[in-house]
Amino acid sequence: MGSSGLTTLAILVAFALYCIYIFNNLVKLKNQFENGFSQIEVQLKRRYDLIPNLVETAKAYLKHESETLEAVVKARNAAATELSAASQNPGDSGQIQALAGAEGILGQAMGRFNMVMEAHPELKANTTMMQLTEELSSTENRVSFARQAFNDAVMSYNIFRESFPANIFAGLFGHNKKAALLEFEDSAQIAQAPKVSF
Amino acid sequence: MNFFEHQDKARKQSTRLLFLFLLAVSAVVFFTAIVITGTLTYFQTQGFLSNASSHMGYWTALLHNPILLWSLLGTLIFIVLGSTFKALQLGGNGIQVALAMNGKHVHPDTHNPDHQKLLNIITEMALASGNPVPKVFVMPGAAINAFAAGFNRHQTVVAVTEGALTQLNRDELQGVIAHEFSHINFGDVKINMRIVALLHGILLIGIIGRYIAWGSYGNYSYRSNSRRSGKQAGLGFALMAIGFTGTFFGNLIKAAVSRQREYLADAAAVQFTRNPDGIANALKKIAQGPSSTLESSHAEEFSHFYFSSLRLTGVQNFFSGLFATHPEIDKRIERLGHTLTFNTHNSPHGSTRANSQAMGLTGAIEITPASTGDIIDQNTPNQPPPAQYSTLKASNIINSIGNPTHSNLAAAQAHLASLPAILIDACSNPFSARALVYGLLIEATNKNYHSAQLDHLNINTHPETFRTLHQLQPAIKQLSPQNFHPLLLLAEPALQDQSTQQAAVFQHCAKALIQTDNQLSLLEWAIYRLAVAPLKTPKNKSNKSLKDCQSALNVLFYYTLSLTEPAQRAPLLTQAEKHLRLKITKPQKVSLNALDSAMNSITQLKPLSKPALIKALIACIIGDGKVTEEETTLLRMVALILDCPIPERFGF
Repeated sequence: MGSSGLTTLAILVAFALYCIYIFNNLVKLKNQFENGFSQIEVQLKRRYDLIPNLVETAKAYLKHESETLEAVVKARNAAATELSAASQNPGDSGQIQALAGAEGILGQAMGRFNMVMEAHPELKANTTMMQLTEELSSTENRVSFARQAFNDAVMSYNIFRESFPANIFAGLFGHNKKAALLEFEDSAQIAQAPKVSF
Repeated sequence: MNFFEHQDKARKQSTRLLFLFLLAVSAVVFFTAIVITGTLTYFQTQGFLSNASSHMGYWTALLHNPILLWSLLGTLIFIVLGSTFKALQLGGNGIQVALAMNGKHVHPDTHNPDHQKLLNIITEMALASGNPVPKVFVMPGAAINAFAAGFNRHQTVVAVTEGALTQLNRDELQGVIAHEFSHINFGDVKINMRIVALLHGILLIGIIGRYIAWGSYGNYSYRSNSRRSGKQAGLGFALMAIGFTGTFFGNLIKAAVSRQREYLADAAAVQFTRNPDGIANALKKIAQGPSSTLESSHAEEFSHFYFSSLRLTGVQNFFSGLFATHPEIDKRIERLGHTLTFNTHNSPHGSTRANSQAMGLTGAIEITPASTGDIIDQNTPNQPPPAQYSTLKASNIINSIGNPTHSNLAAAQAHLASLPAILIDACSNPFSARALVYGLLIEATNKNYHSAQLDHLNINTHPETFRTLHQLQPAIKQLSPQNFHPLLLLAEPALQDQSTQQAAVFQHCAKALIQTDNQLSLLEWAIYRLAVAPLKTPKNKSNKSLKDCQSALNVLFYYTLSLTEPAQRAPLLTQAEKHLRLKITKPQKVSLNALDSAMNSITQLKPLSKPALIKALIACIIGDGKVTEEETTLLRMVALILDCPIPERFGF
């Protein structure tokens, strides 16, 4: 065996090891953001479970505001559908955006609901209502924290996927799509929602 | 056999396993190289055979061919690359295994009652055995099965099938989970991860052979050179055959190691739950169910991880017994003191067992029914009842490590029930778990610094985190320091869900809180090393003797003694030295910082040196008749870092 042959072999092995590293890192980063989405999913589900109770409690006080309540329920149902679709494939940017859109509409509906509630002090003072809004607000916090973790993980994945030389292999290894960040259009309004309870 | 002997055996088994795998690999490498060289030379010189008139000539020519050396090297590199690939892919944690099995992460915030029940059982068992709560996954499928995986205690995963959740009652599920916990406690999960990686390298040869063989068929239609394709197919099939042979031996080794550990895990599970019916009934349900096969293409690769074997029914022949990663289910039920009421298979177990022993693979790890009985019968009475601390003996604690019993489980349940609900809920997700850790760190500091700490958090964290902290603080103020430890074990899985950036911020803030008063307290160190930045158990060999760790031991023991009255120190040190059989000298610096770096070297102790160390430590702690909270914190932390978790005992 000549030394040049050995050198070539060593280079080939190093190259193979590098490819292995890139492949595994792509898989690992993808797993990380998919796992990150499952965290959001749990919290959003919790939120979607709380909203019907909230509406049920409010119904007795808001006889003339049934439109607002219906809008909340409708937006909640739409968002829940989008969530289960997105959870099937958190890497798909279309589905992530659809979820963000549905969440935006739900956020607006909740904003209107909160405004209505402000106008009804007796509803605001209801114990069940207070408990529910408190729980909802702590869920909001958990959602935004989980969303931040998800977006961080998506960023790491996208950055690695597009960096040289991983970008040469990414397509080859089946990572040919950029993952989408989950940005809620109306983040400001959502952030407002929990504060109403104080 | 106690925990340390099991761990030592596990370590020796790893070495033995590696050796057997190396044998299998060398055989595969050699035969592959011969086949490749044979094929290549046949291609190059069509007249090769005619030159070598005799058989002997052919072989001599083949062995002297430089291509042989190259193929030897090439094949070896291939196998090593294959194993490296798998090892890197598993990345040292069980999450990748769970995801490969289509597992879905169950978050503590879940609303599904079945999932909640599973989480409760796992949390209780983790606390009872003194382990951080593992991450929990649920796998799809109606079959009843479960597994545990992971390289170290801080990154372990327990996964259970949907079928197990719906078909088993709480006792049965508890039995299954206890079985998995004993795999975690005895370090089986580490060996299992290694087996997967090693087998993958050998598997690769067979896979490549299949590609080559298939490729040759694909080419057949449009290539005129059918003769060349024929050779290609020949090479492909030869490689496939070699690959299968390699896998054959690999699986044989895997099965032999795995099977014996299942009995042990069953026995330990009974001791843990003190309920042989639970696990026995679970096994019966599996035996009566359709099959415990899992719906994943990776199922076979990880077959030795599971609670029950993958192929349950099917032809019972000579090989099925030999390849079984698990003992036959009726044998397992029998050893638990039950009988399978219905009689479907009457296979000759005796013969297959005898065969596997004749292979000489199981000799060292054979556990006879008598010895499993010992584990149940002898250890249980040895456990002190939870309330009697005066009778706390070093040997009792040593025996209890890795062998949690029913009393530990009851203690853990009681302890969990005594913790404020708001704090347990805070452990369920990363957002509030952070606030909880901040709160505990503040509580661990002198009151005079609290306002400075809160000011710091107010500036550096999100206002909502700060608000959550405020909500938790009244409950935290009521806690006694002994409740910090279980809460931190509970918070671990949630804290691991932070992104890298979030974890960095968390670590930064925690450090700032610790440094406010310019001194590190033991409790602060424990919180930091448990929840913020756990010390990893070393992946490399742990073969240091006590003597090798002399300077680290000096620091550890002088620190431990600094927690007792100065007058008591000299006799305690003599006692510790007697256990260690070493002279402990005064180190240059006795501080927590020095202790922290000392722990790094102590983690590399070999298993059989650990009991002496723990005994000596316990002697130092209880020798003066007083056990302070600081001392128990230190003992728990040292034990956990040494990878020997001390089971929960209420009040200890």
